[in-house]
Amino acid sequence: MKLFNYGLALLIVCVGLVVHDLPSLVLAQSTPLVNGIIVGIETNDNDQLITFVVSDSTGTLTTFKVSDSTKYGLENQAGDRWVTSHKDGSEEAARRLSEHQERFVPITVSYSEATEDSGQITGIATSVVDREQGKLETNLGYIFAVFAITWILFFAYIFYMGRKQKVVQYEITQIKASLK
Amino acid sequence: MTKVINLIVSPIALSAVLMGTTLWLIFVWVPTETNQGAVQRILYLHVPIAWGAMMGIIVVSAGSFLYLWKKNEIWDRLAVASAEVGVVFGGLALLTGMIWAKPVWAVWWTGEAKLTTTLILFFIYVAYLMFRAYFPPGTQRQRLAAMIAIIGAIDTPIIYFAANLWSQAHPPLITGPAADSESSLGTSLGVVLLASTVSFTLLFILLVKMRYEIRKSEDEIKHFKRNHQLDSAVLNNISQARGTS
Repeated sequence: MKLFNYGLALLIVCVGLVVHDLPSLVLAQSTPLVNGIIVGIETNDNDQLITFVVSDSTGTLTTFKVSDSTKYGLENQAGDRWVTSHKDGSEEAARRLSEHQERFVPITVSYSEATEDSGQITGIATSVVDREQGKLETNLGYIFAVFAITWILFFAYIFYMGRKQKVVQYEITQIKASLK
Repeated sequence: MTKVINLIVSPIALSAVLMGTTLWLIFVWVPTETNQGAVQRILYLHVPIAWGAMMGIIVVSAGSFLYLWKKNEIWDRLAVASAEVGVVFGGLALLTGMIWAKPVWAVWWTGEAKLTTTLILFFIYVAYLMFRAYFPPGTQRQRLAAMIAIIGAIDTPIIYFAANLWSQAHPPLITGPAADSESSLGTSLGVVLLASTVSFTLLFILLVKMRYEIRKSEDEIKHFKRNHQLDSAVLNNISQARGTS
């Protein structure tokens, strides 16, 4: 009975979370991304980054504006990571992106508020990171796999213990009956 | 009414609520890590599960040591229960780590120290359980199994320090006394990792407790049968029930 209660409570919580989080997960899955190399950078008089242009593998150019909330996760040639927001490092961002442009380092940009004007896409970059081994959107499949496997195994183990408990219960009943 | 109150304040309900809160923190509250993106959220499951696997072998070896010392079956039962739950946590730590490695390292598996020593831990659990399953019952089996568990526990500190001792692809320690301050997690990420660790620790304790109670009942039935000559009809019924379940 205890095992059943535990399984039921966990199941209710998990189903509730799926229902609650499904919209945000779907939204995350539909966040637009561009993978490509930087082909242009625009800075202001203070050397702070204003816009940059990325060319993807098909040659499509996308212009990205940056905002204070834009986040960066970029590595230099030595492999040192630099993580910050535009608000805290707009000059360093321009310098790092210039370095990426010179080295033709591929990056991944997630963006919002995309507009398209005569084939030219423009958006506000929300994050700029070194291109990952896999695309960010396909990574959600790995998260799903991890969480699904974990909970399936835990529930399977609880089920296995429930079966064992049933056998023990049956044996106790038989012994009690034989002693009457 | 008392039943409802008991259920609400029970460790089971507490564990379920904590787990639910942890999942909410992982998927809704914590910001997405910039470098790895969404896949970094696997950390909040992988690290606490790996911690559970390590905690498991510590409990198994402590239980085994106390059994050898006190000769009390309670400790042997605790060791077996913990080994069984530990093998689940150990297997999951390997699986979740492999799935995380694929998008981040581009391979499912590498032969580096942290991964290899964790695989060894899994094999130690399996060896312990297989030994107990196939060796003839008796105190000899319990003593030898206890020795396997105590020797197996040597692997725990090696796993813990592996990433720091042999700098390879696996990131260095991010929590605990040996963690490097430069590689430690930020506040919000650390809070979620802590909450997740507490949730999985409680789940580990609950599962061990449940398995322990079942094991205790099994042992009591065995002792009862040995001490009381049950008539053959009852024994036949029991063996039939075992065969069908």
